[in-house]
Amino acid sequence: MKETRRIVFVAAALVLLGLLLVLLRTWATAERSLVPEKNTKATFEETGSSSGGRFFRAVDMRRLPAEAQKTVTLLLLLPIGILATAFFRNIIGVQTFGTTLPSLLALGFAYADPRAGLVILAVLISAVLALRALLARLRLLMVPRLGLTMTLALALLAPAIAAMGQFGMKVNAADILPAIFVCALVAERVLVGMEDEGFRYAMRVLAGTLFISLLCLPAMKWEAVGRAVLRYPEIHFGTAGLLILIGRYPGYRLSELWRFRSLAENSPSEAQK
Amino acid sequence: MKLASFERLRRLGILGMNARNFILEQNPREFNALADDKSATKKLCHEHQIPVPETYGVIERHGDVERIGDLLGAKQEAVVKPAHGSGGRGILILARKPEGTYEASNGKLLSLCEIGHHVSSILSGLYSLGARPDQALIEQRIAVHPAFKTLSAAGTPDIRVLVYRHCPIMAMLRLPTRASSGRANLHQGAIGAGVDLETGTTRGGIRRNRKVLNHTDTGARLEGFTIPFWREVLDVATRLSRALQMVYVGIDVVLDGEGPKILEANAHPGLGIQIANREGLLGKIGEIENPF
Repeated sequence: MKETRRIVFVAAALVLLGLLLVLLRTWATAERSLVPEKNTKATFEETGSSSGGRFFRAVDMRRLPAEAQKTVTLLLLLPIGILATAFFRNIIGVQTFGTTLPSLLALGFAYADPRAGLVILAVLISAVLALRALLARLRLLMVPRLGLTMTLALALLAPAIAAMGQFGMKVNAADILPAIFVCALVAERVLVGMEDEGFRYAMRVLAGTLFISLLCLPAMKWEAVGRAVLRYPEIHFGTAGLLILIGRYPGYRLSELWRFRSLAENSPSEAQK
Repeated sequence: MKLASFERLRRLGILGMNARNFILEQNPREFNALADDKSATKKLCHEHQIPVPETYGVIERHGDVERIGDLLGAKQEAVVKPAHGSGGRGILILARKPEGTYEASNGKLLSLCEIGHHVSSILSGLYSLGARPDQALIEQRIAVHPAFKTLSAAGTPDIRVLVYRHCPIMAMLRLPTRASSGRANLHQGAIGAGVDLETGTTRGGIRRNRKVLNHTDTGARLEGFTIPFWREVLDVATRLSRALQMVYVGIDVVLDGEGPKILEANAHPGLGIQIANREGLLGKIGEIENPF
């Protein structure tokens, strides 16, 4: 019991540390709003003249050049998706491909037009499913077969992207390349999942992955959230703490109420007792 | 259908996935790999004089695929399977035909060349998780104990014994069905029948997490069937768990006319066995500490 309590204590301490740092920095830099205004550069050069304020300004991520800020923001948004994935997997019982893949997928969708992201995913998955059936009779070994399937699926994506351009979606490389990369990874996982556990399993896990990434999408798209994590990266002490708490949860998953549903009622023999 | 409640699961002492994973943490890592490797498990069984189906040969390299003809030799029946396969995938059951071809369990006639291709697929990892390179085992086909006649339509029934700290804590008879394509895995649609540990008598079955009274293919009653050689079944399972030094392990045993033989060990045994027995595992392994 002691060890478990200590670990829960550490987790709680991490969460508190994150909150404390946020409060401390808000106070020291005299910038009261938790979600900073869009263009805060000018104001925060002027405010706060204490040495603490200067130190905190020096470590402020928003001193970075605009492009670097964008990258760092995306990087800092990923753990939110990872936390959501861990929660949904271990507490709710949703299955996903990998732990980071759902948040990467959300990031890809956020970077591209989400509609474009969904089209790319749909094209790649359906291409991969059709090609798998078509290529089965070639009886190729696993790695070249996966390679051939992915090659052809990506080749089929080219006309799809041309069509998306015609319909007025943004299709320049900078916007949709991340989505293409992540969707290709997901498509390969679907293929391998089908080999390992069958079609139904692969579709179920794909649905879980997509569900969590769509759930995280608003957080990734919402600029205020991005500005907040860039201003206060220390909130991820809290993320770490919450992950530790989830990691120590030995109780039932919500999905197990369904899985063990046939045990919901007493069997005749139990009723006799 | 009604959902279970947390309260109900707790009262039955059902072991959930999270708690199971905590228990699996206690298994020594290096023995996990051993348990998942059928070839290594067999070697260990030989060292400890635990009965297993006779091995005709192991093919490890693509250059050796041609040896399949010599290994099969004049054997009337044989099984080809991947050492790291899971869920019964990649297993080929062969019966020799007079013309020098072999009939697979699905009725297809295969030439030695086609069997060789299957072995190549196994070696390149087609059936191992994550497509890792694998070995192909060629071994004796078990002639199932005649007592199981009314309970088997397709494939070989086996007995899953769950062993915790070298003590059998729960068991289940796994009956392949046509819907499970002859495989004995519950999630592929096989029937699981809970077994009373003391007597070796079945308690009725489940299929796809739902209760069934009769075998879906043969119609035989699933309750009240007594498994022959029951003491020996528990004995071989316990001995293998000791040899593997696993804290929590599922051992699959097949029975032929002579007695039990080890089929394989499973380092990540599923939770469905609790549904088949209508009984939780927590009562047998103690509570998992819950800080919440």
